[in-house]
Formats: sequence, structure tokens, C-alpha cells
Amino acid sequence: VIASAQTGRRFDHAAVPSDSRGDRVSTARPPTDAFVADLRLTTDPVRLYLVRSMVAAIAIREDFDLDTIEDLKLVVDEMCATLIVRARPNTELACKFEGSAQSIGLVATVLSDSPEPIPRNTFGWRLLTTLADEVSSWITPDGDGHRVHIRFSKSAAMAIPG
Amino acid sequence: LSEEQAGRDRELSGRAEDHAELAGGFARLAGLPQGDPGRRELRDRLVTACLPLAYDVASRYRDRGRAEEELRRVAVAALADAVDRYRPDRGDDFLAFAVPVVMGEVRRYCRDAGRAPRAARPLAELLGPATAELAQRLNRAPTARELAEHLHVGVEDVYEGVVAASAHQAPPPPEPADAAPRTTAVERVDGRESIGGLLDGLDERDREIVLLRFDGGLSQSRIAERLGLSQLEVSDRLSHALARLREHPGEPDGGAEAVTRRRLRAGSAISDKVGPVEHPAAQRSSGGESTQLQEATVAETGRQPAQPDRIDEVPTPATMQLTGAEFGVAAESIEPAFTVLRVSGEVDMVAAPELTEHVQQHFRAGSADRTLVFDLTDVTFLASAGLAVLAEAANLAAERGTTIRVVAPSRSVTRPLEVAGLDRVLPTYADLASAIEDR
Repeated sequence: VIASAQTGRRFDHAAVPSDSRGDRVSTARPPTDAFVADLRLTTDPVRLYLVRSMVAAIAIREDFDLDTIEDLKLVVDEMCATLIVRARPNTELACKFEGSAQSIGLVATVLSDSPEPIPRNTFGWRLLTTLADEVSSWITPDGDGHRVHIRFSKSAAMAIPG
Repeated sequence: LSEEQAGRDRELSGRAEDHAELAGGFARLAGLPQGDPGRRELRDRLVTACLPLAYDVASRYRDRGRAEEELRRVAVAALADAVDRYRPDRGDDFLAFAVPVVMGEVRRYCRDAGRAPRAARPLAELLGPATAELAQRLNRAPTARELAEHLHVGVEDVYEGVVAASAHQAPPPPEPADAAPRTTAVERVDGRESIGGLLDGLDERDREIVLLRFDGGLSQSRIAERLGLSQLEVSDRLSHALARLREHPGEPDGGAEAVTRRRLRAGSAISDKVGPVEHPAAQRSSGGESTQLQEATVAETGRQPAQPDRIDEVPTPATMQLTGAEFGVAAESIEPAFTVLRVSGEVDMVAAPELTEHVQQHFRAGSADRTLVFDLTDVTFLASAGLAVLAEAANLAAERGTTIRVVAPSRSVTRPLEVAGLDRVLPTYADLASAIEDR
């Protein structure tokens, strides 16, 4: 279900491309391959800031523009907040960030007692679909419970001003 | 740019004092249309050509207790700003325009650095205007790297400023000259005698580092920046100093360590991240700080000294750049007609119930005929739970024949309002004054 992902990232100094337009090549940001980063949290809303911080940290370093970074924080917060309220007490929220210079995504999942799919007619879901390029949610059986997943991705296409 | 001109511009770099050349460069810059690829190159060359000016100004202030490296950074960023704002057609020559700008910025920095950690971030203050300038040029928001290149500073500096969520906020209004000075970390540092010789065992620099870190709540990297040290040095000195304090308690009753820790706690409670709002509710995290720190240290470069048993007990707001601003809300009445809820920090699903509480209190109290104003100036994040509070407040107000108003100057607030469509329903204002004036 989760896209094939490389662990870690490769950075080869020799691979830094020289810029064809003759601008000086910044060493600030190495070219990046796709990578994944896992974050596991107790399902306590107080910890939501960690998810927001993580996506911002990734996006800044992948050189996403500042407006897109604000949007990404909203999206991951909404996703994880939605999951946390459905989670079985004392379980984990598992987040897998998928990042590259082209796009950022997150698959987040919790164990729930409810087999009900995530409703699509809420403001929260509208916020997700407005801000992300792709959003989906699905449920898989997990022991005596149900594993709820939400996934989004957003490309680095610069946010339209206004 | 023609080859010949490019050659002349390169020459320019070697002779910054040559006013005529400089004036020629600015005239050409002014002549290039926005978006011309040669524009940025020429602009950067002009900044480079004037670097000696920035360094010269920085060197004049070096004896005021700030590291010259840091002063230079401020001066260069101010210079880049001056190059952008300079209009040759207004008559002044560039140096006449730039020198007061750069000096003013450096002077302000020296002054502010001695006052409040919040104000001691000239870079963060320049990020706002620079973001606006670049946004206009690029027709989209800039990236951190673009900001760094624009201001001729390191990308890391911008990361820190951006994650501190200051880039999207308008620069703070200048403080009136007679404003009462705020109690600040540095003043507390200056008042270190009152600690009763507690830190006497440390040399002056170590003492300063310890106080900045735990009393002032500055991050290691910010301390490094301020004192002109590498972060590694700060980290090493800090762990060394703490070890020393443990081994050599300076006072018979309880020892240095206990007193230090007590002080450290006191220091962290005075969080200026909450801004002007002082309300018990703003101290949300006071109970959970040590656990928060455990997580936050991961973010803080992983260079914490290896004494987890001790360090874990030290609460600190220093990692705020990653944990985000704490939530706070305070109500106040302005004239008979308005109740203002000043909200600050991150309004997520944890903070929203508290905000709801304030809203309900407003409508329960006899003040329900007043207009409720949400001042979101210091809000750095607004989640859907926060939007729901605003929507609910609007409904409650409508039931009572009143309205609510929202002060929303930064994109971190306007964007969610826009996505929710609330910007079309709620009257929003750029600042509190215009929200109050609008009758």
C-alpha cells in the first residue's frame, strides 16, 4: 500500500549539478532523493505540534515556499487530529513522511475500535482536499480492531499567491 | 547585460568607494525592468561592492559587547535591504542613503539585544519585509533559500527565523521611546549578583552561557550566535559548566545545583514567547515541560550533554522554535463597546477548548451586547478546531444581535480563514486599531 521508499538519502557531492544559467550553485541544499521518515507518537493531541514541526522542517529544507509550508502544517495537523480522536486509548499514531524536492506526503495511521470510514462531508475533510493535491483514507482489519489510514501528498508546485 | 558592462560591474566590486561607478550601477539597476534576469545579478554585485561599508559600520559597534561577526551579519542584511529600497531618482547618493539605514539597524540591534530575546532577532524582523519584497518579485512566496540569498545570510539563519514563525508576521511596531522596559533575560543576567555568588565558580563566559540558556531560555544556537561561538563550543561549555556546578555547590544550604534548578524553573516560567499576554491559562505546558523537553532535545541538534538524569529536570522554553509558541488568551474591555480576546501561539485542538471557554464567558457575562474582537495578531497556527470556535462565536453573536470581528494580519491566520470561507463571513482587519475604529 505504501509506495516503495528508500531508506535514508544519498548525497554525492560530485553529483551537484552546475547551473546552466551560470548562477552560482548554492551549496545550501544538496539534490535530494526521495526519503522517508517515521514518527511514532502517543495519541495525545498535546503532541500534535511535533507532527507540524516535522513537516515544516522537512519542507523548509526541501526548499518549499513559505506559503506551502503553512499549508502543509494545516494538512498534517488536520489529518492527525482526525485520527487521534478515533484512536483506541493508549495506542500509537504512526506517521510516515515521504519527502523529496518534488513532493511531500504523509501516511498516518491509528488503531480504532470503529470500522466506520472517515466521513467526507466535514469541514476537516474539505480542508484536506482543498490544501493537498491528493488525499485518501482507508481502513484495514487489525486484530480485534480496525486500522484507520489517511494519506496525503502535495507537490512542490509553488502556491498561487492570494 | 553586455560583456562590457558586466566587466565594469566586476571592477566596481574592487572599488566600492568610487561613488560614480556605484551611481552608474544603481542607475542601470533602476533601468532594468522587474523580472529581468540581469537584475538580481547586478543587485547582488552592488551589495557585494558595498560590503566594506557594512563591515565598517559593524566595526564601530564592536565594543558594545556583541560579537563582531554578528554585527556584520546585521549590517550586511541591512545593507541588502538598503540596496533594494534605494531610489536613485530621489536625489540622494547611495551612501548618503545607506549609511543611516545600516547604522540605524546595527544601533537598534545593539540596543535591543540588551533588552529582550524577542527583539534581539534583527534577522527575524528583516525576514518580514524581505518576504514581502520577494513575494512581489516572484509572484509567489519565497523559499528559505531565496530569502537567505536575498539577505546575504546563511540558510540556517533563515530556517531558524522561519520555523520560529516570524517570517509571516509584520514587523512589530516601533516601541514608543518612553515605553517601560520589559523584564528581560538579559536584565536578569545583569542582575546575577542577586543569585548570591551562586555561579561564582564559573568563569564569566560560562556563567553568561548558563544564564542565557536556562534563565534567558535561549537555544544553544542562538547563544552561539550571540556570543560569536560555534554551537559545539556552547554545548561543550554548557555541559562542562553544569558538571562543575554539580561538583562544587557554591552555597552551604542546598548547594548550587538545587538553587540553580530552582532558578531555572523560575526562569522558564517567565516565558516571553507568550508575548504581552499574561494569563494563568497561558501556562498550559507548565505541568508537562519535562516530557516535552525529552522530545524536544531530539530536535535540538542532539548535542545535549549526556547527563539525562539532571538535564531532564531542567524545564526550558528554549526549543520553542520547534515546539511552536504556547497558546495563550486574555480578555480585556476596550471602551464600553468592545471585548477583545488577545490570542497568541498555536490554536490547535488542544488550545481550542480554552478559547471556547473564553467565548462562552463573554456571552454569559452581562457584556454580551459588546462586539467581540478576536485579536489573532500573535497567533502562529490556526487549526480547524480554532476555526470552529470562531464560527461558533459568530453564531452566538448573531443570536444576540451582535457581531464578532477578527484581527488577522498574518498568513498563518488568513490562510485557514480563507480555506474555511470564513474570511467572507467575518469582518477581518489588519490590526486592532482599525477593528476598533470601524463603527
